[in-house]
Amino acid sequence: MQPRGVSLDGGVSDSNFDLAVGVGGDAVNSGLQTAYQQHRDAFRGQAEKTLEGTDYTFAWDFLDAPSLALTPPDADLWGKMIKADGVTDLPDSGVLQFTAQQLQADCKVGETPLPQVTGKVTVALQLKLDGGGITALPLGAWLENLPDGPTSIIVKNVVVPALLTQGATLLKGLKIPAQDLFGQTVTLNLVRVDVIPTHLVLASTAAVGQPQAVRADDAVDWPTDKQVFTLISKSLLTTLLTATIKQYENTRLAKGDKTIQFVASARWDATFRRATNLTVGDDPTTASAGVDVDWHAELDLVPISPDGSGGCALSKAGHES
Amino acid sequence: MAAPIEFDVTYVPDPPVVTVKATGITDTALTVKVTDLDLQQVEFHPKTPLSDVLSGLANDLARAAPPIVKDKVTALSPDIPIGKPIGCDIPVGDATVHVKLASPELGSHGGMLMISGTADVS
Repeated sequence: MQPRGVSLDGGVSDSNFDLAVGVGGDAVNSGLQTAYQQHRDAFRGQAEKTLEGTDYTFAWDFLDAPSLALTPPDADLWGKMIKADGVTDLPDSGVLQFTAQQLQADCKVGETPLPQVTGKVTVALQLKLDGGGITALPLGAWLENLPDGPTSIIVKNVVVPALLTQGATLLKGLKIPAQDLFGQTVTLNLVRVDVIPTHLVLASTAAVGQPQAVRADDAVDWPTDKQVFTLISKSLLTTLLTATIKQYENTRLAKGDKTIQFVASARWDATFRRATNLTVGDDPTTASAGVDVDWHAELDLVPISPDGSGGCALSKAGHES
Repeated sequence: MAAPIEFDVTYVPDPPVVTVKATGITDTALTVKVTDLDLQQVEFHPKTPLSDVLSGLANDLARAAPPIVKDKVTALSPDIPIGKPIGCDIPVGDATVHVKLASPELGSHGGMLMISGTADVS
């Protein structure tokens, strides 16, 4: 069977995921700017390590807000990066770079401070799915100005590992918080993270939808002309709309009546019982549904004379028909 | 007083089909407009045989019913509350940056409902 994941032209199909949220790189960086201003302390830190009886200390301070580039480092930069343990090749997806123009580094070997250095720093990370969450896997780091030689103990064992961890921590726990959508509680299970040059996209399946198997390797044509976008599958939409309609159950739709003076009065009313077979249209802003209507109609004979001889009318009606 | 004469009611088509269209979205709600109700005919079938005059009364009433129901239903334009704003959380150390979707617009992309807008960072 043809997988329903992605159509052959690379377009989005309905069943990879139920909800995707894409955020443009400029918006992500604006978020980092805000975070930097509001949580300045999150951008300072210190790492210490004792190796062979010597204490090594690395204190860092980002003097300006770091930014993310949603692209892998070019071959030249990758070549210059000090790699994380076990990393040799640049992965082919999910790679982004965390860059700060001004990282101030204060290092000490034992009690002896090394000269303070300030310069540009770039950390390459790979975003990966990990048990319903996102893990940022550190790949490598490059510093414009090193506090000591590139192969020195402090750079290799303290500075680079601390920066890699910092970069990874920055994006750990990235998630879509949309648990209440259209008044329904939607439990989301992250199934895909895409790093494309313009956007960071997270896609989830919803417990209330009918997610199909996901083919995370297929390219998806995201609407990159939008700064922020949310895509909702027809399956999830159907579930959400069906649940929304429930609040209208047992609502009177309309009523009517008519009287023939001195003879009879008739009336009806129609109550919406429930919607059936709700279907989202080809245009997903449209939907149709069967309407299960509870109709009630009845007719009262009016007594012809005050003495209650209207019973005659009933029998007459019966006879005439 | 005599018990009322009741009717069985049938209608064409059964069930009537309602169509809706999402017409707008704000930060707090999705507005849905009922665009049509396909209800062509309603018939009242008396459970007790009726005289011609009473049948006429019931038929008149049944004939008038579809447009009344249709007008009432197609005037409906319910708002579906969105709940939490749509967006994503970017953790930074112990802090979290919220990127929310602002100035939302409705559309479609690849057969899915798309809500797009600008980023509201907090």
